[in-house]
Amino acid sequence: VAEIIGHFEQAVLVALIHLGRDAYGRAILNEVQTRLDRDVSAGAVYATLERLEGKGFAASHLAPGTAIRGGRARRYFVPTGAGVRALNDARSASDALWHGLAWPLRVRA
Amino acid sequence: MIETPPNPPRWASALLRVSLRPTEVECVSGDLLEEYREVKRPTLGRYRADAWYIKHALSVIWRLVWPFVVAAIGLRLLSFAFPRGWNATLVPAPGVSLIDAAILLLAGYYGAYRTGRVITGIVLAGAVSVLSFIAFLVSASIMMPSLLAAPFEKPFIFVILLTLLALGLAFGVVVGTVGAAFGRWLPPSKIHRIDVA
Repeated sequence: VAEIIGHFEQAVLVALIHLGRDAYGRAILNEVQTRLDRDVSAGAVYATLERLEGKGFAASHLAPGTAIRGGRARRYFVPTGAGVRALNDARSASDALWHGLAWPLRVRA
Repeated sequence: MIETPPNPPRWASALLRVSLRPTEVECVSGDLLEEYREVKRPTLGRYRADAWYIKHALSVIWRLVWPFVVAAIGLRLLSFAFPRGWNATLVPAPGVSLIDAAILLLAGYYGAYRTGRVITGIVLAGAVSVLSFIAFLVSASIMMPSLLAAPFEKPFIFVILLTLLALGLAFGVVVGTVGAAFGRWLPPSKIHRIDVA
């Protein structure tokens, strides 16, 4: 049975894939905000990253920080194979749900 | 003359540091500081950039504190539904009953267990006390709308409210400290810290 991931978790995983090697906290926060087209709190993004790591859908490593961030380390995230499979499953489940319907739906008067 | 880079409010940075595990502190605070200095401060100006930073710092602590706040608000609502005396308390004040103590104890325990630091548990329990008091004021005002005007008609009621808040906060800090001590030094916490390291 495929692990079910929520909408927000999908947004974070998609951001990780899109950002590639540049996926660290600040960039992920901005990317998720852009993709969801709304303001997103840092707390929600960090909690989701922690949860994704706990589920084995993402992995992280530390890298040295820059001067503008006071030399504080950056944590870079990458999606794992399980994370990519979970995203594929989520997309397939969504496609199956919509199968046979013409998009956009028409409103009956 | 060397220009020092702008910094967000110190108290918000301290609150952020307190809410995070030692392994997360550098990365998360660095991310917010980087965005603050590079984007928000130049584009929004000092006050709106500070507001942005505070909002995100509070969002991090809110992830820890909300279950206990929900429990405390639930307790306040139940207090209106049940007859007086169902929730044993030493003094007739909001936020200092036995069930409040249990919630604050858990908040203190969880905070210290999560970060391995007693201060997190104390801050968490203190925050629960203050938010629980605000919930009490709001719910009491809904039940008796005349209460809203009372402090303006009789200013000493402000003093009474502040005293009740201080009492609740002190109770939260004391009970939270006990919970935090358990969270910091009981065996499960040690196992957790080894995992993090």
